[in-house]
Amino acid sequence: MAKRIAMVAKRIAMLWQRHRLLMIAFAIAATLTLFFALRMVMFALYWADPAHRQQPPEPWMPLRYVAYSWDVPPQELAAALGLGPDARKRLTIADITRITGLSPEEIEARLEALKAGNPKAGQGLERQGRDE
Amino acid sequence: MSETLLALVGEHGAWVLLLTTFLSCLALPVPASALMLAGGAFIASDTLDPAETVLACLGGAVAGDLTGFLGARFLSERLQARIARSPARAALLARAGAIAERWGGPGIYFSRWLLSPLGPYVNLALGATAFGWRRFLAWDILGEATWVGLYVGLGYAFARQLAMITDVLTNLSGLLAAFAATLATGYLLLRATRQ
Repeated sequence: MAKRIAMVAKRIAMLWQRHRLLMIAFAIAATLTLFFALRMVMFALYWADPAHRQQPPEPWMPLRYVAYSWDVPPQELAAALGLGPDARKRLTIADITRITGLSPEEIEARLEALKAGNPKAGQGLERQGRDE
Repeated sequence: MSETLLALVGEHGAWVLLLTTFLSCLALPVPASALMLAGGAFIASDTLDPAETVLACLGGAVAGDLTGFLGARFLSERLQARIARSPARAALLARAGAIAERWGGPGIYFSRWLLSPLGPYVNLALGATAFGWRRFLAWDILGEATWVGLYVGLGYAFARQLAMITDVLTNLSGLLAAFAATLATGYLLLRATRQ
């Protein structure tokens, strides 16, 4: 056994002498593989929780995309945020914050209200949105 | 930076995707995969046009690959005379050329999507050998179409969980590339111990 370990150690020492760059490349590649594998496990644990999958509205998101990911009609969402029917197709949450002064948190609160009441209370919210 | 670029995709659409895939194929650190996933999600939500989005991603990627390939070809032709003077270097280049002839096609195809972080370097390596540009272009279009179809398609399918699919897929792509590099260097090391 000890003889075998000594032999392996000798081989590694020889490799280090003759193929130093290759060994460094192997060590870097193996470390990166381990890093990505551990990260994959972390992601799997995080995303396994359904609560993490509902995406809160973020400044970069277009209005239509937010409506789609929350499963509410885009026209109803636009109305609930106080936007007219002629709003641009690619309006983002950042644009809406600039136009209406609503923070992303307020927008999320209105989304939740719209989703909770959808489809029945959607009409009421639409009116409420226009009054503001 | 990623969120700024995502906002730009939402506002300006396909042009941003074209520029991003072009730059990523020249090994510049832009999040092309994440933006293509977002492109797919924006198609699902009727924010972007499907044909425009797919063509922009594909056009940018193929143009970027050709730029790398032809740039390396141009440089290697300039250096040809100098390389030919050293027999050792000429032999190395001939060996690289033989490997390219044999494995170039599938090498191009799989380094477009399955091992995409390696793609830009494959372009440069093949450009430096005598690999034909028409053959390069044919494999390249096939591979990039797979890459674009896969990412835009998954973005479309998982549009409601864009953050999740982006995390998982970009990490998986890194894992596959790192694992392939581990296997390749491990194989070379094993072969070296046997000699």
